[in-house]
Amino acid sequence: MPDLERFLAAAVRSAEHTAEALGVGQVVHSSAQSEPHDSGVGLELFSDVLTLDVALFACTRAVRLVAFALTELEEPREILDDSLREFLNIVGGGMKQSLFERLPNLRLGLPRSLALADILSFGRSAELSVAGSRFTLAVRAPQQYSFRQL
Amino acid sequence: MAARKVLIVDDSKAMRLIVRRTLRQAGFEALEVDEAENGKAALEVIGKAQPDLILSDWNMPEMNGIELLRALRGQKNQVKFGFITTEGTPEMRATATEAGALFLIAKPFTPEQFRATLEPVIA
Repeated sequence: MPDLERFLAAAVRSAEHTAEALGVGQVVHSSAQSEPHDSGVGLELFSDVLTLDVALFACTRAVRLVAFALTELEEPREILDDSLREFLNIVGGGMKQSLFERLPNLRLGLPRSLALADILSFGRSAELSVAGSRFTLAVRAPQQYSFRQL
Repeated sequence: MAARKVLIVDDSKAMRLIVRRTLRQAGFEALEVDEAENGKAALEVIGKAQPDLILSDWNMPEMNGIELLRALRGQKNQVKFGFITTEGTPEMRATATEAGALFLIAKPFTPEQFRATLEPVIA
C-alpha cells in the first residue's frame, strides 16, 4: 500500500516539525522497542474520497516529555493524555496543510484516546524516539476509500 | 479602547494552558484571562464576563469555533475574535475572515507570532 506509506511519511514529517516547534526535542527514527507503550491517541482525517486514521502510541516518559514541553508543569498528571491528544492534533493539522494541494477538502476529527491493543489494527507504523523516549506513529485507512480519485 | 479581558476557548486544557503561557511570554501578562471548553460554554461566559477579545480553537465538540463566531455575529455582538487552530489552510482562513474573524494563528505558534498578531488588535 504505497499510499499509506505516503501518508505515514507526511505524519512523521509533521511530527518532526511539531516536536521541534514545541520544544519537545528532535525526533529520530529508532528500531529499539525497550519501553512498552502506556498511552494511545487517535485522530481521523477524512474527506469525500478517503478516511484516514492517524495514531500516536507512547511510553510514560514520552507522554511526560510532551506534557512538560507543552505546559511547563513539573507534574502535569491531570493533563498527560490531553497533552498527547493535543500533540497529535497539531500533527494532524500539519498533515492537512502538507496534503492540501492534493486533498483540499480534508477535514480533521476530534482527537480521542485509544486502547493500546488498537495498535494491531494499524496498517503502517514508524518507531520514533525523542530524547530516548519511545513513540510509535501509525496510520490506517479503516473505511472504503479510493486513492485513484486523488 | 485597549483590550483587558481575553477569553480562551479550547476543548484541550493543555492548549488553554499553552495559550495563557504564550500570552505572558508575548508581553500580555496584564490581561485578565477567562476560559471555556467549547463554543456553547463560551457563549455563557461571554454573557457574564464580556471579554474584549476571544481566542478560539476551531475544532471542538458541542459547538465549534466558527459556529461560535457566527452565533455572536448573529446576536450583533462585534467582540474582537481570532482563531488559534491547527486548521490553517487557505480555505479555513477565507472562511474565518468571511465570518468576521480578525486573524487565524496556526498551531504550533510562537510568542513572537502572538505579539505580531495581537498587538494591533489589543492596542
